[in-house]
Amino acid sequence: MTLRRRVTIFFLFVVLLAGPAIASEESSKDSAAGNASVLKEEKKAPKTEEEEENDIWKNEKKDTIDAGKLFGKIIKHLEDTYELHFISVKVPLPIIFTDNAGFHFYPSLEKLAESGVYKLRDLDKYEELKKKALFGFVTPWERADGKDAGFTLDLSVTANRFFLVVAMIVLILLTWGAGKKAKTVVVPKGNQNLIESLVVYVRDEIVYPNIEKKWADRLMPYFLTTFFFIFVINIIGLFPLTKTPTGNLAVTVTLAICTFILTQIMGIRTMGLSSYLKHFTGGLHEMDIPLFMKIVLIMIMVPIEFIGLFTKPFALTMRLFANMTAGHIVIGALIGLALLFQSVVAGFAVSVPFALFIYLLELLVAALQAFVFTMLSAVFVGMMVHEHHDHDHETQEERLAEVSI
Amino acid sequence: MDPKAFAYLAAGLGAAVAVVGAGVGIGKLATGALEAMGRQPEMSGGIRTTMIIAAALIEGLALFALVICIILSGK
Repeated sequence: MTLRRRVTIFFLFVVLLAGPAIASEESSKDSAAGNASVLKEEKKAPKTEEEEENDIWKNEKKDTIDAGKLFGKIIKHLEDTYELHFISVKVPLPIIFTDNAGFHFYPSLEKLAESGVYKLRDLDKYEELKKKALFGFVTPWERADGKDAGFTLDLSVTANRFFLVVAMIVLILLTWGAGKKAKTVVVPKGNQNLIESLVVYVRDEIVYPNIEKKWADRLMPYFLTTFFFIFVINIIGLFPLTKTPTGNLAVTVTLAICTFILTQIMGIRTMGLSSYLKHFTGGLHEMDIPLFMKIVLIMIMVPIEFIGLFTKPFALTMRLFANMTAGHIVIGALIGLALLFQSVVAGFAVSVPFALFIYLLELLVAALQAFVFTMLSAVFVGMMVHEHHDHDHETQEERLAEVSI
Repeated sequence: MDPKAFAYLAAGLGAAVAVVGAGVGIGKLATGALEAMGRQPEMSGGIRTTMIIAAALIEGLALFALVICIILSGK
């Protein structure tokens, strides 16, 4: 089978996949057209959830689609949900939470609504509350008797958490066998070969150039885990009907916090606590200037350095989050272009090639973002581990002496 | 104009300007990388890796702005 034949089959396969995706979106909009007659008769009837979902029309005549509403739908499609949505099938997921009334477990959202103790919120009020709450954390249910439920710790299985666990299982399946075989099988084949080549790449190109060998060997598991975890999550997010956990700010923040904690702990371990605190002054503590000036400058410097400590993890989270989310939004928008023109010809001629190109770009970005996250983590840890070599008992005289030679 | 229209306008302009910045930055990066690869073909591998890392960092900045634009257009 020549390469050309394989590439052709691959492209045909992708085009075939794109067809049902466009068709399913069009059909779900078509059912709204079926409701048009119902709408005309009961003009004042409140919109049901189904009609609200399919409402992207600009006016009552339903001949042009409102692009703003379509874009809003695309962004809503990327949000987290309490059930798995497979186009029209909704697989229920368990709801687990703790609040003032204790620990609760419900097998699905419907059972929660049926239970009588809790009921689902009204959709408009839910949207309003989400805008006002901190980070938008509002449970979609409330107590049926209207009392305040207090602080609710929501541990339910949402779609993002479900795919996090799926990614974990895929990762374990991929790497466990390769890890065990690596100790005995010297010439790797198949899966072990793939995993070993990636592991060696991470070790030799990412970790060893940035961190000195002694600490690199001890910290290797963290970097390998980060790389493979982010890579697997990103790849899973590219399959149809899945959600990308790294497209959720909370997951990327957690990963960045893990790196942050690692860098600080490595800093304190290698430099010692006093030297670590002194590095917040940015080198001012060993300068030969009058004590008064020193205190003023240090008082200015320390808050700035402290805030500068948090810019690196912030950049890590935003980079990963924005790359993943932007890719999905662009693909959604390009497929929505076919809906906007309301013609299948425009779909196949314009949407599919562009969406295919962006999809392949996203494949690259998935691997690249895992690589960049791991590389930057290694660089930050390396900076912390190297510090104590540079700032070891170096007075200004010694530094001047070094330079003058 | 409807106050919300300003938000949409700002979102569109902001995204455009952010992408211009990223485009210029990555263009200069690619220029430097290609020149260096032309001078020293044996370093191509290392230069390619560094180029990709730098491109990802520059794109990260453009995407900060893009996220703010998306938040704006959602309001």
